[in-house]
Amino acid sequence: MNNDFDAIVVGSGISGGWAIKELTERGLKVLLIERGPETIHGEDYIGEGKAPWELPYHGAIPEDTLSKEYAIQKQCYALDDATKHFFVNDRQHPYITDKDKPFSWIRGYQLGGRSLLWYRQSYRWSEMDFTANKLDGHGVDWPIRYQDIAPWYDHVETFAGISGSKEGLEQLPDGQFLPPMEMNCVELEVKKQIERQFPNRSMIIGRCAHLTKPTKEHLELGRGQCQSRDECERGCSFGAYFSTLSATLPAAKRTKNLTILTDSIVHSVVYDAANKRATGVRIINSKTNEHEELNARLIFLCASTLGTTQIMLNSRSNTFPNGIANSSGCLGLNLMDHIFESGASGEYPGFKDKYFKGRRPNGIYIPRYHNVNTRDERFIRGFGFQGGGKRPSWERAKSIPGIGVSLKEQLRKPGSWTFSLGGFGEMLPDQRNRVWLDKKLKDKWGIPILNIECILRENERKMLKVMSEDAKEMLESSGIINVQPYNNSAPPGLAIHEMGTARMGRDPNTSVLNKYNQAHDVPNLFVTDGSCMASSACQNPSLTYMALTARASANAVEMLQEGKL
Amino acid sequence: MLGVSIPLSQLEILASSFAAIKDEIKPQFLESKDFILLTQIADLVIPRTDTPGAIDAGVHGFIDMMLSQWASSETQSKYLAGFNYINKEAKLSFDANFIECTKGQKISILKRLDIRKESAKDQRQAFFVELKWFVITGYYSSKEGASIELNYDRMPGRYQGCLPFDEQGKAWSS
Repeated sequence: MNNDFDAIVVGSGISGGWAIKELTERGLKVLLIERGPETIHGEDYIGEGKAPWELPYHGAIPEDTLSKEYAIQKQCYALDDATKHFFVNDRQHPYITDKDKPFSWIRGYQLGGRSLLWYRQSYRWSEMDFTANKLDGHGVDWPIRYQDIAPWYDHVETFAGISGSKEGLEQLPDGQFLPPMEMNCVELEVKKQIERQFPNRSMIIGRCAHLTKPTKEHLELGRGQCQSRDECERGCSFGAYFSTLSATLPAAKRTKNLTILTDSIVHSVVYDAANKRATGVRIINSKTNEHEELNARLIFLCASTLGTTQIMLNSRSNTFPNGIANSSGCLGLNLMDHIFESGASGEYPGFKDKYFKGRRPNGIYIPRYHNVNTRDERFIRGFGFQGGGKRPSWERAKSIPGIGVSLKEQLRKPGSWTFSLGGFGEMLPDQRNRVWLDKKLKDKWGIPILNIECILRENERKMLKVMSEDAKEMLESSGIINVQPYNNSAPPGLAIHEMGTARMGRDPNTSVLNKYNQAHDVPNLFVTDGSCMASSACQNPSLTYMALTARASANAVEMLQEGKL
Repeated sequence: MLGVSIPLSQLEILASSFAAIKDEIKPQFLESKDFILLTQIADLVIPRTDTPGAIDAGVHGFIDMMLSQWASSETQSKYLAGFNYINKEAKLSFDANFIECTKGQKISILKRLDIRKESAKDQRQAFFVELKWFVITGYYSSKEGASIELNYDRMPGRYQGCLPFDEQGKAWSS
C-alpha cells in the first residue's frame, strides 16, 4: 500500500478516534489501523430499534454459543444476540490468568472498538485526582495538573456533546454541558434527603455523552437528538451518543487526510536505533496472515490499555530487549480497574400514583465525598456512586408466587419504586498488578499472549466495605425501606476501566510517558489510551482519555512542525 | 347481567381451550404429550382474559423452539426430566398424568410446585419455577404480552421522570 503517511494511529476506539480527528484536522496524512473488521454506521446496528419479539430468541444468545464462544464476555451486561458481533470471541482471543486471580478482559475488535459499547458516563477529573499520587506516595506524580487538561476537557466536551448539570463541585469540575436529563420523582426526593442529612454529599443527574440538544456542529456531522431508547450498545444511527463512528471518524474523513486499514493486527512497533525513532509498525493481515511493514513519522498507540501494552512489550530490539520505550521497566506494571459491585438497594413506599415515560440511558451520580475536605481514617482516596430510581415491571415476577389471572393482573401494573446505589472506587497503582507476555503461548497470528495478574488489596477491600455501609445508610435515611446492602467483591476487569500499564510521569526512570503522552525513550511514539494513566481516580475515565488524546495530538503536531521529532 | 352467572374459572377454561385449538403449533423438539403439558401449563400461568394469554402469544411454540435451537443439551435434558417430574407428582396425588387431571387438580399441583429455588430441595423440585419464569419471559417479550397486555414504546423521544400513572394505566414492558 501507499506508504507515505505522517502518522499512524493504532486502534479506532475512543482514543484512536480522537487522535485521527485531531491529527487530520491539523493537516497530517493519517493511516488508521484497526485489527477488527470495518463497521458501517447504521448498517451494522443489526438490533437497533427492534422490539424483543423481533430479535432471534427474543435477544438471548444460544446457551452453547454463550458458554463456548463468550465465556468471559458474557459477564458484561451489554452482551446479547444483537450486540455479540461487537464483542470478541473468547476462544479466538485467549489470555492467561491464575485460576485464583481472575481478571475479566472485555473487548470489542471492530472499527469503532468499544466506543460502540461504552456506558457513556463522562466526568472530569479534578485537581485532587492529579495530585493524589504525590500527596500519599502511591504511584508516581502525574506530570500534569488540572489546569493543563481543563481547556482540553472544554474542547472534547463541546465536540462530543456531554449532557449534565452545573453543580460547582470542587471534586467534580463542571464542563461544557448540553441540557441535563431529568430525574424522576423518587430520585428528586432521595436527592433532597441525602443533601439535607449529609451536608458534604450531593446527588446529581449523570453526566453522559448523549445529545440532549444537538448543536450546529453535531448536526453537521449527521448526528441527532437522543430518543431515550436505552439500547445504545446495539448502535444508534441517530449518532445521539458519542462514538468513533458517530463523531470523530466522520470528522476525520471529511478532511480527506484519512486512510483506514481494517483487519490488520499490529504485531509490533519498528525502532531505528541509529535515529532513536520509531519508523513504523509491522502488521499482520488477520485473514490472510500476510505480514507488512508500514512507516510514518509519528506513531500513536490507542489500541486500548492492554492491547497497546501487548504491542509495546512485543516490540523488542537490541536497544529495548523488554519492549519499546521500556528503559524504566515500568511497562506492563500498575494495572488498575475501578472497584465496584458494592452498594445497596431498596424500595420507596410512596409516589405510587406516579410513573415515568421513556428509557433514560443514564442514572444519577453521587460524587466522591470521602477524603475531600476531611481525612477518613479507614482508607485513602475515594469512591462515587451511580444508581437511580425506577419502577420494575414484569421482571419482578421472579419473586412473586402464584399463577393465573391474579399474577397477570398484578403484573399489568408496575411494582413499587425501587432505588439503588452502586459504588465505583479508586484502585491504587501497585506494581504487583501487572501484565506480561507469555514465553511460550502465542495466538493464531503468532503473537505472544498476555498474562494478567491483578487483585484487590487492603485499601480496595476497606473501601468496598464502606461503600456498601454508606449506601445503606443514605438509603435508609432517605425513606427507602427493605434496604439490601451488597458487597460482591467482583474480580477486577469488569468495570471495563482497565488502565495504567504504560504510565505518564515526570521521571523517565519510573514512568514510560512524559506530560505530552510522548514516550520518554522514543520521541515520535505517543500513547494516549488508558495505559497512560498514572492513577485511576474514581470517575469513569473515557472523557479523560479523550482530553489527553486531543492534547497530545495537538502537541505532537506542533513538535513535528518545529522539527523536534 | 343476563341472570346467569358463570364463575370466572369456567370462563377461563372456555377461553383457554379455544385458544389451544385455534393455535395449533407443530412442536420442533417436544413429543406431543410433553408439548400438550407445556401448552396447558403456559395457559395456566398466563391465561387469556380481556387481553391475550400465553397461548395467544404463542409462548408454547416459543419455548419449544427455544428448547430446540437455543438450549444446550443439558437444558434440554433438564426440561424433559422436569416434565416427567410434574407427571410423577400428578400421579402421586391424583393417579393420572398431568394433562388428564381436572383444572383444579392441575392448579393445586402447580401451586405446590411453586417453590422458590432457595427453598427447593433439589433441582427437580425447583423446575416448575424455572418453567414458570420461561413462560413469563416468553409472554412479556412477545408482541402480545409486551405491546398489548403492557405498553411498549419503540421510540420514546425523551424521558419524563414523573407523570401521573393514570395517564398510562399499565406498566412498560421495557
